Amino acid sequence: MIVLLELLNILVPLGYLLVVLDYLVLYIDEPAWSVRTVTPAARALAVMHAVYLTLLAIAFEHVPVASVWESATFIAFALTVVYLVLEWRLGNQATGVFLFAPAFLFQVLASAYLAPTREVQPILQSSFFGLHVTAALLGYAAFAIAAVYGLLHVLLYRSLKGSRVGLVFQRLPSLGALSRLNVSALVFGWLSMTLAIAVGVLWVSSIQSRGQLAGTFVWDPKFLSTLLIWGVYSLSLAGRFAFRWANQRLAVASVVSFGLMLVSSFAVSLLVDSFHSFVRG
Amino acid sequence: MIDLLLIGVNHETAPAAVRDAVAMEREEAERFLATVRDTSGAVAETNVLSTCHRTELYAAGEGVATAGRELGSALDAFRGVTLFGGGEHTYLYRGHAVARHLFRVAAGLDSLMLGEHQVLGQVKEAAELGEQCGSAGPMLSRLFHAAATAGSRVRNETAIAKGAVSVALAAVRMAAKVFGDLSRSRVLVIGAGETGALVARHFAKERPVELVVANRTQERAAALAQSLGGRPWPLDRLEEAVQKADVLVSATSAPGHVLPLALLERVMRSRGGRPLVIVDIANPRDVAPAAARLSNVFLYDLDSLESIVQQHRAARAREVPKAERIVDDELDHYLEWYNVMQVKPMIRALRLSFEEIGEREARRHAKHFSATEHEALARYTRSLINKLLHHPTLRIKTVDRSSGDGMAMLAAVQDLFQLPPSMGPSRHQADAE
Repeated sequence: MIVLLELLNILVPLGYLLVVLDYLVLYIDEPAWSVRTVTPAARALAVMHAVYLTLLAIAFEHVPVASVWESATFIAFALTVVYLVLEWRLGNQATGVFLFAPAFLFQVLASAYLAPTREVQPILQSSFFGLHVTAALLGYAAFAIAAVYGLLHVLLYRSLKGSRVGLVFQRLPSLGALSRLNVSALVFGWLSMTLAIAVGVLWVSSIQSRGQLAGTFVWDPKFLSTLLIWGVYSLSLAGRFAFRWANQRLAVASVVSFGLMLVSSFAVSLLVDSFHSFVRG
Repeated sequence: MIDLLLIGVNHETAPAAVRDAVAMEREEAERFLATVRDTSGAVAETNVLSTCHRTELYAAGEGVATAGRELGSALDAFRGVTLFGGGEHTYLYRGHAVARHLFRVAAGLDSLMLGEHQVLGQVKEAAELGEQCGSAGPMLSRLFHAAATAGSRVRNETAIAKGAVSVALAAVRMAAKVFGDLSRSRVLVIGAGETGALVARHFAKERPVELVVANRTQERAAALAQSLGGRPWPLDRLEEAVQKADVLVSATSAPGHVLPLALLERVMRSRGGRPLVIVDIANPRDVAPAAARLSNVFLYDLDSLESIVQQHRAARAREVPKAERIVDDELDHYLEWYNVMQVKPMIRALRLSFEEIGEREARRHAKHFSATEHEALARYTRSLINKLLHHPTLRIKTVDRSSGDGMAMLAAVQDLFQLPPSMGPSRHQADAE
């Protein structure tokens, strides 16, 4: 099984590279072969990635979300699945390259740095943990999707304002459709993140009361940065729904918020000690 | 040998008056094809393609290569003109060039507006016309269907037919790119003149939720609104209408700005970020140009719409090499079949000649065999002929008839096996005259 996992550790990022290139060719030139092959290739990749995650879980006896790199491969998988659902619903393949490119990046980092042989802390056997981490990762994936569609919204908006009918105009769906995708992803991401925070706080409080975890989580850097990001997204959504922000402003906000989230998440995970590190060193 | 011939006029060779004089409606084409069928002996198959910018007569048959003048005269006589017989405005193609020309026509590569989509439907209709009249046989039917396939592929696999090539269509496309589905939008038309009506008609085709027409003269607003399936709107309540609209088409003859910047700023503040597409096709402009800088206002005037049209035309032109490659690809498939059809009579004659020899020899030696052995002998003879002719047949099918060596080889086959002269080779005259 380990040999198969090592093989998939190479094949999965390679698959992402091929799918990204296929979507890129489709975006630029729309050749018939690319239109035909790109969706089946992306679906096959999703299946391969699911097998990879399942084998990881079986081989190392925990859901592969315990470290930042395990989370990275999970986010890549979540992006793939959510994109395939959107493509199926919208019938538009043109935005694939923009979602598979970050997924590819996440997977390359995961494959390069993933070291799943170390044991995880026993408190992670709790079902609260599964719900907390799954909700948080789905939230991250949704915010990534919101950022991608936000960026595309900004590009198309500028193209329409400038009366330019180049590739951005020709390939992307309408401004209205991009806006709906942006808002839906933001709302879904915010709900997931809210659930993740709520479950996390309840869970940590309960194990602290049983004496299984020392100290307080309130000043934990990961918790604080997540709370900050959650606040930024909350403000953006309040701007949209309470103060009737224009779609373009929300699109910009979703891109900026995601950038902030990426920087703070990686900085906290890699540079600062946090009880959110679940692997035993 | 069976050959193809085309004689025609189009926008490049003849002025509109000449093209109009020879253009044919379907019924006229049917009558003309019936006339040609009754009078022209050398031509086995004929068909007509008549579109806005071209009228072309296609023919196929043995000896058709020399029937150009005869067919031209028939067309002249039918239309009461002296055009095709003389050839001043006409073009004439033979052999492979006929196929290439029709494939390019179906692909929209030979159209006045590059990539225009109507011509593909007209080629398909012409194919159907020829078949229904009985004037098009296997050669022309296959030619027209293959051309339609090439045309469909070019439309599906390239962007040659994409993008608006008129100002009105460009305005609709830009609005559709903002809102997606225009059937959920509200359209406001200011001015009831001819130019505004033309653009408004394109928006009306999208069946918007509401279409209102505001004009200085209420009667004209009502008349235009009625023709577009909308309703008139009083001009003194313009701000309210702009407030509700998603798309605004303005084409008045007012000397100043009908929609000043202050009004649009006020309106946009109260719309909660809802986009507004403004199509200003008035001259002088109805909308303050500074409105383009307002957030969520997409302002398109005549200059910007014309620039969009030019961009689309340039994009279509960039697709030409890809379209030509598809045409070449489909042409290769067609010519493979065409070449086989060309040499089919020779192959048939060759096989007949061998079979006659076989039968003659079998008859001559019949007395040496019993009745049951006759059947075995016939099988043996057929098998022997098949084996002997297998490689020569393949070689004849694949011979390059445009080369001297190829033609010499066909002549040698004809000479060696004493085939009738009509089965012999005739060099293609593929160039246009």
